[in-house]
Amino acid sequence: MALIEVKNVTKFYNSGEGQVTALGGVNLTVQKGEFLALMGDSGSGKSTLLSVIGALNPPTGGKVLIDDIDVYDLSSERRADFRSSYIGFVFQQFQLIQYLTVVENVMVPLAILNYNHKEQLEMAKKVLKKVGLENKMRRLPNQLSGGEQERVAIARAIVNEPPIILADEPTGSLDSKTGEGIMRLFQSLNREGLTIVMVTHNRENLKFVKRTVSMKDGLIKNQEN
Amino acid sequence: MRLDSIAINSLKRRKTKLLFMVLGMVIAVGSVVALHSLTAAMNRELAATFDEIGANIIVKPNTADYAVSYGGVSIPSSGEEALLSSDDIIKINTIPNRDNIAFVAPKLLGMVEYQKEDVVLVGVDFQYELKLKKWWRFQGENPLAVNHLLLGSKVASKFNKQPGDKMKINDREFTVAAILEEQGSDEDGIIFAHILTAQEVLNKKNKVSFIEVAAYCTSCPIEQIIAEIEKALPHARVTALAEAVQLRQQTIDRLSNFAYFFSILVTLIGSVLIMLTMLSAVSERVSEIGIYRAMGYRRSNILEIILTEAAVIGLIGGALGYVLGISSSRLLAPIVAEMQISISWNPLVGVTVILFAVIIGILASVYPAVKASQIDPVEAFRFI
Ligand SMILES: Nc1ncnc2c1ncn2[C@@H]1O[C@H](COP(=O)(O)OP(=O)(O)OP(=O)(O)O)[C@@H](O)[C@H]1O
Ligand SMILES: [Mg+2]
Repeated sequence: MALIEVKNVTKFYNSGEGQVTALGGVNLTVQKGEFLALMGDSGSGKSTLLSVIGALNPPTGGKVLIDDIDVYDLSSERRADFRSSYIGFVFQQFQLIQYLTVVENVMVPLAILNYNHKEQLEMAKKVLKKVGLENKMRRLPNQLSGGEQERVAIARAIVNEPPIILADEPTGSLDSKTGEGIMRLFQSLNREGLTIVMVTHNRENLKFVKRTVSMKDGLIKNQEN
Repeated sequence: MRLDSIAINSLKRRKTKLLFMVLGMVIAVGSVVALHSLTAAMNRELAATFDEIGANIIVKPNTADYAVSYGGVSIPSSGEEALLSSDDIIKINTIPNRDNIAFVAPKLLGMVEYQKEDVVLVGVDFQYELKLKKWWRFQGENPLAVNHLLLGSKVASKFNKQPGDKMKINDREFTVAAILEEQGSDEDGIIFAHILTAQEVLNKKNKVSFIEVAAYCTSCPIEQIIAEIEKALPHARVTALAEAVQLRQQTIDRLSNFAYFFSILVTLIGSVLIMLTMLSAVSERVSEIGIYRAMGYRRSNILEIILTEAAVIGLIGGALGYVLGISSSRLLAPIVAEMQISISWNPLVGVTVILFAVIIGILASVYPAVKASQIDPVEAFRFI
């Protein structure tokens, strides 16, 4: 069953030097339970595609269907609700909230939902345990190593049990050993049933994924298995 | 965790910005509270004064070069002074509106020497003077006999006099009937004597320095009485004591107008300050807000976070501002108001002030909050 369907998506940006084509007509289907790697040169449109799939960035043309929902047909507030329940993001710079502790950061996606504090705490503890950080819950992000921050970001992305994880170069700023640990974590999450789309530059990471897609100049170049 | 704890944590862990905004709020609220509690207290005090003195009329000759004063009237330090006469009392008592006059209290002011010291002697008609000075409290018996004296507290302590003691002034024997409690005014340095005796001692037979006329006054035609006395005594200046009160009222009115103007100004400046600080905070938090939006936060959730922060700033700023305002006005009252006024803590006013500060904080942050809520969620993908 196709969980994500990207249909002929274009995205143009207007910059100082005229129009930039970030996506030039992308077609992509991702099945439920896939672990997909997006490769490609810098500026080829990987992040743009990820943000379009993540219901963050309305495309100039084309359609994005997730779970048969046309996400850009939704109003902006409904689309926020959609992100809350369908998508977990993991960003390259971890993007943790600096003034919240580890456990508070993980509870951020829950604060807008109908869970009481106790339930939120239980859910946060459960995922922190999964990423191996249950004993550093009260720290602030700047008191953690890069790999630990990445784990917090992953915990935050999965706490709400969304079906899809979108990750943009999650190992980009980690050393190879730490990066491998993170990839193993993603792999085990995928085995639990999560669908993962991940942008990566690192060929080493490809041994953990199920499928790789390469991009060039805003287009999908080839799909290897 | 709820959105308000996100807001509170955001404030707690970005203390300088919080401090800056709270400080602005405290100064604005504090100065407004101080100014208003000062003018309100002065108004209360004025009303109390007015109740006490009523609308009495002062009849006095036109003189200049004053040195000592009593009851709003001064006497010249030297040289010839114009004086009224005892006949004038009769003239006042026979004006057409005499039925509205409660009583007429003549006074004669002069300097006498006692134990080689100059002292102000004031001759009064004790029977009436005591009715005018309802607030006088004294120790001893009522000074009613012609050789009785009533001493101001400073005079009594200076010459070490007790009720019952004798005093010889200008070869005349007097008995100290009573000693006035400290008034904090000129009265403390005055010897009061019966007017007839004072006229003899000061060698001013039948003379009067000024006359105080007490009217029955809830509805009396004060202007008319003044006009009639002026007609009967062309050589005298007739003023209602109320005018002095009115003058003071005008000053206070001007002050409270200023207080209102100042409050509006300070509120505006404070609001703009908060708005600008909030705006700059929002622009520093673009990527953070993008993250919240990426995680499914609605625009309304972002609005709520920012406005909660504003409300907390208003709450802290308002509470501290109220405390600062009341404390500083209590400190400043004796200097600014030049009178004894009481400024007290009032929970109702406090709550109102805090509420007001919260509302101002929120209103000033509406625009920054709307800006924040419009931040594109894609911003979460951009990093430093
Ligand atoms: N907001 C924007 N405004 C204008 N141009 C943009 C914007 N975002 C991306 N682009 C342009 O779109 C193209 C694709 O950018 P994108 O960030 O998707 O590339 P990428 O494959 O993620 O690159 P990298 O590997 O460096 O992250 C680039 O040419 C970029 O300059
Ligand atoms: Mg990118």
